[in-house]
Amino acid sequence: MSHIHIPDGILPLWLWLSGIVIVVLYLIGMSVYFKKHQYNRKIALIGVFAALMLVAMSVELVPIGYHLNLAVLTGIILGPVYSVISVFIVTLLLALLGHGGITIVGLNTITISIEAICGYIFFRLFNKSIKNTFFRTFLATVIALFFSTMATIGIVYLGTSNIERMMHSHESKHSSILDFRFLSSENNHQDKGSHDHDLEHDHDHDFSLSSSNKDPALSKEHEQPSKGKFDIKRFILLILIFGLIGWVIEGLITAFIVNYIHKIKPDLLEQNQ
Amino acid sequence: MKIVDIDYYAQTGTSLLHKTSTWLKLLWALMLVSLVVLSNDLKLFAFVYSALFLYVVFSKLPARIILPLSLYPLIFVALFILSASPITFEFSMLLILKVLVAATSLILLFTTTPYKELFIQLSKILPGFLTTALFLTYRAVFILATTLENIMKALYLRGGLSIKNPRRSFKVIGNSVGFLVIRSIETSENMYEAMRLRGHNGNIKYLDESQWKK
Repeated sequence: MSHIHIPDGILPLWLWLSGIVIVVLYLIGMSVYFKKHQYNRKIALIGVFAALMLVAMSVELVPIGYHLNLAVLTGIILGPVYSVISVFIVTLLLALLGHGGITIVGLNTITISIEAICGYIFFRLFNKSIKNTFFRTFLATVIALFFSTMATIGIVYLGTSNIERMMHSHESKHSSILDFRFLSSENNHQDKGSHDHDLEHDHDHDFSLSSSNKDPALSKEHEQPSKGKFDIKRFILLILIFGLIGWVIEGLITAFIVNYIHKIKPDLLEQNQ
Repeated sequence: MKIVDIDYYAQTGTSLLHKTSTWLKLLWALMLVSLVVLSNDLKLFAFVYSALFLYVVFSKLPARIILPLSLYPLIFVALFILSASPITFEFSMLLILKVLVAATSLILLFTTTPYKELFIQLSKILPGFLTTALFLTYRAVFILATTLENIMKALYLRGGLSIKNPRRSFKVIGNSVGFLVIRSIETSENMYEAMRLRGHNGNIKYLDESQWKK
């Protein structure tokens, strides 16, 4: 809900590649860890929690893409180390469903993992100060979602230069076509009646010279198209408007879930303390 | 995203892509994603997406599932387009088509390849524990999806969800998912015990058709 599944082809190569490298290094570390400790029971739990996240995500709460995430819940129950693997599996399978780019699997894993890790940290942190499980979970979830949203914004901000480069390269292509049209129409105009309208033509020529000589800034603006800019402030505003509703819904539902688990099987919430 | 339906079509479909080898399909998807990452040619993307769209519509594939799924990433693109100014129509189309090409090609791969075939290829590059976890995830999705479906049916039949009383509805959803979480943990324990009984030692080995025949 908080996070947004960034699609392929928008972020620069160095950015998504570094996301993949970080996640691959983490997975190699975990592979060594599992070989040493033979924690196969945990692997089953990781797999089932990934499935739980996928099933929860398939239930659309509001028909514009809002769905439950359960990353915070996964973080609280599995702990920060194992929840990252669950998140990776979820993002990989979601990418195969067109839900977030396959090249962005690394970055999306990092973003959602931040949610799970922050959820775990804040849930434990508020353990002594807030006794009410419902309120504690709600607060931990909202803070975790805030951090994960900030991570998404940070990633997009780092990729802004690439978006602007794409915009500029496209604009320059577009402007070259317009320039050609302008020149060709001018040529046609000259071919048709240049000998009949010598004075007028001279006047046009004078005007173009004077515009380029007297006001260089204006002529520069005339020569180059207005450069497109990615407004990161507007992007943040849009994400926060969309995200805020999601944070509250996800926070409330996660709080009810944890409250229920606390009543029925409290040992589940204390396993990773 | 209905993963259960997609798996059904991947297993039972009879289209040309279903009969194509998994390696070829992976290579083809990789090629299209590379194109999305490296190129900014609007005409090329318009051509590729038209070809993909026509293939989905006129082949024996479930277009009603594939097309809406491929449109989902457009929500994010819309945020990008709304944040850029001034933005040309051509550039907006380029972003939209890039995302549609990448999403459609991956969805086509997933809807025409049985998960077992896909995991055989993935197990060659992924570490053993991850292949096992992926397999268990896939198995658990079906069990949990059925459980969730039953819970939701029971909730509707008993009038558990109401827009007039959102607090009660949230509580009911929370308790239901809480029940699902506890059931999930039980499922994971049962799966683990069953695997141990069958001699699981940490790695799941996939056999392809030629190995089965031997």
